[in-house]
Amino acid sequence: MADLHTTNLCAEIISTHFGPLASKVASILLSRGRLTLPQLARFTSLKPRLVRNILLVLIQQNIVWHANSETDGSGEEVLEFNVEECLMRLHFGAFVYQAEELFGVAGGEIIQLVLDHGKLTSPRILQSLNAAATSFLPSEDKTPVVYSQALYKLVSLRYLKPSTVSSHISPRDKRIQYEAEEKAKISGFPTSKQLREAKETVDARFKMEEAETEKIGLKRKAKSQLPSTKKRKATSTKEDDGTVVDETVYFRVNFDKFNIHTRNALIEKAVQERYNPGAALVVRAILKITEETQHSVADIRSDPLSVSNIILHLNSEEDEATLTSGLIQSKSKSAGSCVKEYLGILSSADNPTPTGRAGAFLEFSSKGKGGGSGKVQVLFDVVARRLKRQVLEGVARERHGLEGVRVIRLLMDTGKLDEKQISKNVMMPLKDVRPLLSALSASSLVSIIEVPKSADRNPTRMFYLWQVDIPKAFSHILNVLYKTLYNISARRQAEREDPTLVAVLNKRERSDVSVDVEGLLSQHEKEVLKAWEEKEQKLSILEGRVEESVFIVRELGRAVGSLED
Amino acid sequence: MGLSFADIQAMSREATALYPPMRPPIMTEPTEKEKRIAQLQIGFARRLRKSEYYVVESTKSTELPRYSDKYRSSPAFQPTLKRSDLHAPFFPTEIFEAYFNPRKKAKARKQVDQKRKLNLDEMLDDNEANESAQEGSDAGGSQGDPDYDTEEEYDNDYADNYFDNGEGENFDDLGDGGGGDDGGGGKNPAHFYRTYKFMSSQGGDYD
Repeated sequence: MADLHTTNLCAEIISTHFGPLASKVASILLSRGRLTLPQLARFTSLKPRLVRNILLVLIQQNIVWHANSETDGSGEEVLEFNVEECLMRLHFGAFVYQAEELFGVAGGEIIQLVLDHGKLTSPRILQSLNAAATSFLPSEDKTPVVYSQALYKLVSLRYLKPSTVSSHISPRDKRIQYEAEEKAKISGFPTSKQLREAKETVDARFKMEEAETEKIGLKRKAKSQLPSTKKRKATSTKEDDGTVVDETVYFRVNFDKFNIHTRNALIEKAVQERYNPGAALVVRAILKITEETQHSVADIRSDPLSVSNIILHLNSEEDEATLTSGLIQSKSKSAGSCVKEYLGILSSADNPTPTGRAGAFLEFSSKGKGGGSGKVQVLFDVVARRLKRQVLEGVARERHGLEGVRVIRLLMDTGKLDEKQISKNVMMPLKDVRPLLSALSASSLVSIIEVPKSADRNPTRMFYLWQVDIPKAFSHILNVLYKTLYNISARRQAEREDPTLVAVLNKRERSDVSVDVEGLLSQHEKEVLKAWEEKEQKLSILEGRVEESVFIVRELGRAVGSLED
Repeated sequence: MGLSFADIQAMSREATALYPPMRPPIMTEPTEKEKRIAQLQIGFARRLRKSEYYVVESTKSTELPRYSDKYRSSPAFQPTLKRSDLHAPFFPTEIFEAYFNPRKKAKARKQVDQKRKLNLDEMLDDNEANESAQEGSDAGGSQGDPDYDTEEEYDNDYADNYFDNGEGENFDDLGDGGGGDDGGGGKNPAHFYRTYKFMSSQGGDYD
């Protein structure tokens, strides 16, 4: 089940990708929760065969989970919607772009194919790509070897993760089942401590299962398949450790790993805005070197990295130029000392107060001998918190102007305050502060805490303290962002339904016109098409920009977790 | 908190404009990276529209067939989901089988339904559950035989708790013996003849 805005957004995404019929099924599953097939058919008033078809499509694309509900004794199959997976569909373009940057055109095509189909086995991937490649003129980039190498890299670096039977079972049902098993082991009346232990065992079991699934995917090469020494020199060095992609395993895209790159780009941009390109270069080097060990966006900090390693990485000419130009120095210094200066600035070494530490990007870990040969870690949670705060302040500025931002900043820094103290600190008269506070509270950015002075809660004798409730504020902001995304999608749909455009699009879809677009469409029709494609692109770009804020609030929010003050 | 009375009085009494002047936000120029990502995202929607994952329903159209229909895409041209493309263990078995084998598994599905109905019997009292479970398993066993014994089941269902054959009844104090028996027989009018026959062998004659 999901709230109104999430439901609308997910239904709209499904409608764009899978059609209005699938969207009907999705919206019923979202608004009513977990359902069996007959119930679903009844609520959607579609034919059961059609509903089965749609469900098979959605399960194949990992959007719907299923389970056998053993608990109510009927053993029927129930279906549940996977909201996160659906919302990730808006990022598919960014994933393919990232794969192209990292692994070349071949990698990008593999990721695109796997995203199209939900999940695929490696022979199937290679087969479709080689079939597509040979239909064009052969170029150096599209030989089968290139594709299989790219596939191996994607699997070994965990950009493609294996999809198992248990990943299709709804996690809520799994949790209920495991807890029931654990509780059955407790004899007699369970105490609260035993129940808590049962929950922890269940959590541990989940983590173990996840770790096991990660091991599938690569298997050791059989001895007969090891290539002869001549071929070994020609193939890439990565296959020396004797593993090869398992051909029976279905692979799907690991969104977490791609989100890491988005996060790193956001951090780099934040450093550049805060300091200068030199500092951004240093941070980019650190993040690139530690990329392989970063597994998920929920990591709190990166692995420690030695300073000498960073200096080694930044020894090209233009790097040196950027580094030295960014700092004002009494005498010209080498790149290495510049890097050390930047690291000192980025870690707020000169300002060890809490405010200074909250503005830091890195930290020197205490294991090293000191600044010279110490190790450095990027603090993901601190940066995430700051980025989220920027989003919150941005929203406040849009809706309530600069005064709203002043009040929000004051409340976030000082906790809970009475309205008189707020007006004194913010330097605004009380009659201005009051409507501002009620407007802020109407948009869920601040909330009230009532502290009674007397035993009876007489309103005239109570303290009303205002505070910024962070989880509430961010969940409201997230809802507003989802609503914005829905509006963009609805606008795209409305633009598409313009009658002249519909006629032109239908004409373009004709089998004879689609082959020869230039010749068979008139000038006016081509202009209409071009205008539509520009609009479509603008709306998609806008969607991408809103998605960036959604990413900060939702994904980076996981790294911060329960560390909110 | 909020507005005081003085503030309200000080407010202007004119209506605010229906469309107050607004400066619409201006979109900054997109970078190359954003344009490329947007193209990729649009490409996904376009490819999915033509694939077997976009489900369409063919409806009967009352319009006259046209010449250009052969060039236009119709629901018939949409590719459909094939069994060979999907890995069966990932999907719920019922839905998978029912979609790809619509006719053949109808009988097997009925069998599963029967067994499921019999499961409800387990929620009754233990004694009755034991009996009915036994009969249920018998009935399930003779599944292939469509005309299982109606007489026998009927007796088992009704004999013990519904029909009162009046063996233990004492008609001595009844003026009209038919009253109680008619009451007993009238409980189940469909089987009136049977009960009547049964009664007449026992009780006295009555009108």
